Amino acid sequence: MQDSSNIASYTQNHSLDNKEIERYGRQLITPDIGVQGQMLLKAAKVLIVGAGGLGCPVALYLAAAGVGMLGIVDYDTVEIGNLHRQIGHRESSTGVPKCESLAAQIKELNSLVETKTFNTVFTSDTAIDIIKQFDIVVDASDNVATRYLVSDACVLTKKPLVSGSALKWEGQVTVYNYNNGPCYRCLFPVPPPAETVTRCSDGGVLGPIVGVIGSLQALETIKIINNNPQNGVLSGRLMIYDGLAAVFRTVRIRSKQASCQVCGDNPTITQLIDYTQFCRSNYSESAGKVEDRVEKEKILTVDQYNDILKSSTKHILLDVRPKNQFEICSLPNSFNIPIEDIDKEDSIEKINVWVKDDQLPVYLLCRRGNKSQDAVESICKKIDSKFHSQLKHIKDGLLGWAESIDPSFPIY
Amino acid sequence: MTIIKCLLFAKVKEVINKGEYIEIELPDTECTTNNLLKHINEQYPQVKDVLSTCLLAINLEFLKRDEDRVIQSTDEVAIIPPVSGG
Ligand SMILES: [Zn+2]
Repeated sequence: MQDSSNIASYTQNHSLDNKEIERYGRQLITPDIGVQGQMLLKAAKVLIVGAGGLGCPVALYLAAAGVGMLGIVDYDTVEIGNLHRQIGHRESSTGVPKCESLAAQIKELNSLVETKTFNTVFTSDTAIDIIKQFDIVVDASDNVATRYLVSDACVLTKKPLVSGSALKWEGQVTVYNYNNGPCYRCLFPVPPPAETVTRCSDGGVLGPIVGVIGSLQALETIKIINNNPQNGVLSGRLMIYDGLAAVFRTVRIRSKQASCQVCGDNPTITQLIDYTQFCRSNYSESAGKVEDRVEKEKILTVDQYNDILKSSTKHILLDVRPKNQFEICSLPNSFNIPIEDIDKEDSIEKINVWVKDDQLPVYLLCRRGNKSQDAVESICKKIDSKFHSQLKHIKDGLLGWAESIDPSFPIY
Repeated sequence: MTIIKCLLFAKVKEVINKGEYIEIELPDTECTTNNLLKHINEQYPQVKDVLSTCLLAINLEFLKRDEDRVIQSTDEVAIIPPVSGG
């Protein structure tokens, strides 16, 4: 039996040891990876912004593939409602910072991988210092402000950005700022109005959708690391996945825009700005408390509504959530007219019967007390102003009800 | 009249609420992308805010912002808003 130190005479031109050859064998023999590709992976440092639905598959696949150093940024902690899609966390990690939970899973999967965790909000103050420690950045975040921040920071530090996003049954993937390709701002110079952005917490999202998109991000990252000129890196193209229709479309993107404010010929953005101000939204997908937009007279607190219930005062409770949310849980004796239908003729007819013929107050309710304000306003536009005082929205909605009145009300 | 089929994605699909695509009729002399957007805004005023941030693709190629291109009934138009969730 020969001494194991003979390994050097068996393997030339690379420094992979027997354990690595055994672990990565199937990957090593894949065309266009080989020992050189594996060495590149081992030397690579990848930063993953977000340890959620996208970040989990990205991190797990890159760790499994043997990327030498993985950085994970996330300020959030694991909740049970994450687990249907965030497959890098476990029930036992509930309450643990997501970056720590994911790093622990990475260690269990491949102890050869080094991890660096950043349990912090990724902001204009922290972004550059963190990004500088890595070669490639993966945007696996869940909000508009972070997307602009990550993109600008990658332009300023000259790092390729593998960007993925997903909502409901759909997802998008592309690579920005790669080989003189466009950046996020080249495509979307103006952030969408905050009120038009649907969050996963409102619109829903499926595990396999973020799984597909995250896997594609991991694959593009491997291709960039591998740096083979024949690799068709997904730069200058946007891949759109419609999981419900089972269709992938790849749309050619405009090239880098000479007029781009950050990567163009005469950039006006030469350092990071305040992206929460630019996007009028937070570095977070969680909605937080909803601000009052309707007059005081049109606001009813959950405590006031509880008193009304206790005193058995006659009224109508109108829940404006989508039908599928109403089916999950609702307050007793509430009617459901989804916000999209609230100003339709037959809805207004019904409401008119309540306020005019029955002379009842109508209380509008939704999950967080956001859409119920819109509902009050759209109904007021459609009914006679003398009945306006009979309409009120319930502040903080069903979440407020669960928090202040009845904790047994299901939260989703 | 020319009928233009427009594939809808993400938020645009949600707000228009007519399924995977809509068909917009344009007078034969007005078959350009700007007129198409104008007609969509008129027929679906609720989509205006979202539409302004969307990318428009003709036959899987994005248009430049503010580019007005002549289109015909055989063109596949796709209206693609940014998606930010994850
Ligand atoms: Zn740019």
